[in-house]
Amino acid sequence: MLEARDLTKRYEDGVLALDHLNLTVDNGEIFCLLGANGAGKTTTINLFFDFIQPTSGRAVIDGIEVAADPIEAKKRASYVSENVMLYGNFTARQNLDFFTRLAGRGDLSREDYYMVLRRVGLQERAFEQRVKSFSKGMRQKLGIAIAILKEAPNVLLDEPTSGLDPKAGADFMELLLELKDEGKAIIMSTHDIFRAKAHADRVGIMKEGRLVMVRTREELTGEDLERLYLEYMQVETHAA
Amino acid sequence: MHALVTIARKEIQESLLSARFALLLVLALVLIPASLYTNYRSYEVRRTDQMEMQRRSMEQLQGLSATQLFTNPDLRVDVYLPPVASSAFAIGFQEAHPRHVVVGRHGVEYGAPLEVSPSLGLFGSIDYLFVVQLLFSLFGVLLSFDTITREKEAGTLRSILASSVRRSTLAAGKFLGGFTMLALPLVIAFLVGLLALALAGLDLTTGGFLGRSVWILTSSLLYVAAFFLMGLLVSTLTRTTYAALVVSLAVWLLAVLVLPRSALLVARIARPVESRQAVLLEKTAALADIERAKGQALQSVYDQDPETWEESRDEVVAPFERQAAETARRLDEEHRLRVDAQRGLALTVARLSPTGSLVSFVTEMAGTGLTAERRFLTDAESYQETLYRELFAKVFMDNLPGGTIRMGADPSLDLEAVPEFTSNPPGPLSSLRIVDLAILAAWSLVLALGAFFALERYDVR
Repeated sequence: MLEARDLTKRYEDGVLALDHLNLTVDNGEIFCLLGANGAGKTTTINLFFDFIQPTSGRAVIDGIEVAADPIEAKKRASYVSENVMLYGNFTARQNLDFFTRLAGRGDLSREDYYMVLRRVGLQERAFEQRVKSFSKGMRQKLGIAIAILKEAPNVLLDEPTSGLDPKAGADFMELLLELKDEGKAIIMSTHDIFRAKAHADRVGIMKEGRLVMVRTREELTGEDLERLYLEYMQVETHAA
Repeated sequence: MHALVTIARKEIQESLLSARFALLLVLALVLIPASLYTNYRSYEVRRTDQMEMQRRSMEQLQGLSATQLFTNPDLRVDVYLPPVASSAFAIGFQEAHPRHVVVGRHGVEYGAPLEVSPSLGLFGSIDYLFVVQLLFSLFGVLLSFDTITREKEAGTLRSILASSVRRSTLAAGKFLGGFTMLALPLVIAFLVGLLALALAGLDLTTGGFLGRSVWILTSSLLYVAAFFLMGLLVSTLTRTTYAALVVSLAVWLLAVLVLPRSALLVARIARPVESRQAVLLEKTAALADIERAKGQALQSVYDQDPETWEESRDEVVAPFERQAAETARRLDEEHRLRVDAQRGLALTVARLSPTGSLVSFVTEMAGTGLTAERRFLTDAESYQETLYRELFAKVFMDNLPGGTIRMGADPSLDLEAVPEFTSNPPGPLSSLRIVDLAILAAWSLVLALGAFFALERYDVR
């Protein structure tokens, strides 16, 4: 379970990136964060991984406050970024081996890696290929493979389908649904309104560091999420 | 522990694929064995020259006839520094200072340096110390300056830190892997170098050579560790690889080239010392005054009774001889103290950089450092005292006013009995400069702590 309690981040230059965010994402739930660039989506994820420290409030993973015990908290969460960054001179399997070992999984065999790589849809011939020749879609698949092998009960994804072709994006979302079915709590920041509506259990819209709207899948039934999103953006713009 | 090994292994794998590592390995494998071999050959030439010149010097002395002795009261004996095999590691002062001194009635003077072979002094020489001091320190920085910034720019730093790895573990793993890849070429090239020396005919088991080698390698590893950590620290304090490169090279330049060379400059300004030649001139003038006073005293005795004056000659001359010896010793001693003070200050300033400590440690251990030079000069001074007793004091020349010169020799003078000069370099233990080793270790510790703390606060965005 992922929780944000009055989570606030103000940078040294005075910019308020996150303003008292309150949010709970349960196990087996996908929560999509929508919002323009600079709305606070990535800041939220950064705070859950201790990449930055909160100004006030708490980020909590499975009851463990991140700022108090970041290592224990991060053991319970996987991270997939917009551009999954890997070691170009290493093969897919070597990258998988490196990051899963760092996550404490030193017990996996080559066949275990191959199995996961097949599951995420990577072609067999790419398993032992250097990652520097991979397309973005292939890298994202590898990123989700790392997240799967970590076996963490929570997953945070930062615009993971951005720049993917429709087929690769759809495949990626299928994998995400599998993780949800395994009972993982998932937060995904995205600009893809349609995928958010199609796959999320709840959708939140962020603007200027605040969560200005949250709707469940049921509440969104029959609603035009894009129109809703644009309305919120306009309201906020006019208010500003 | 598991994460530490994983990160270290990844660093090693990455380095193995890098051009930087390949270049370092090739350069080390060429330069270290080649310089050790060449400098060992130079040592053999120096040793042969030294033995021959020393033998000839004694032969010349012992072959002097009574007339030659009397007509050459300003007798001087050449003594030569016995070279040591470990000088193959560091040429040290042997190239910068005379390996030859002249022992005379009133002290020791620097002689002309011995040329091993025609050299291009403009370009300097290469020895093991040079390779470690410059090449390995540079590669130490080049292998580590982008350790963190590269990961940050590539985005892999976020991936690593997201996988529940402590930042301190990341820094330790980076150091362990990177340092292994830096130490490996050094150790391999060092061992190949020792093999080259063995093939050149050096018995590695004699004269504490192996022990000296181990200490030299230990200090070298501490030194390159300090520079690797310096690069790592810079990498954790900068945000881009370009900035890290510029800062690292500036720090390297300061630490390796500027600071150690500025040390002597600072010492010369803070504690100026007159040249050896100036001291010699001062000594000559003072001794000439004493000689003149002695002549006047003898003349006075002669004037009192020209028939029997010679009976009291020794009694009259003795205080002047003592005064001359004391004056010469005092001037030499004062100069030596000033030189030591200047050198001490220079060494202290140089030790502000790890390079200063490395140079001090390796040259001392190689037997070509300041202690060995001082030992040689001290031995030469002891020899001068022996020669004074056995030779110079037994041959005299009295300059009487009016231009009369009287010469003579003690009947007990036996040139065959004049001992040969001997000088033994300091042993491995007395060459051990723990302070330099401690400074190198302290540098590594401080830089490591700095890198660890800086990485804890590093902004990974």
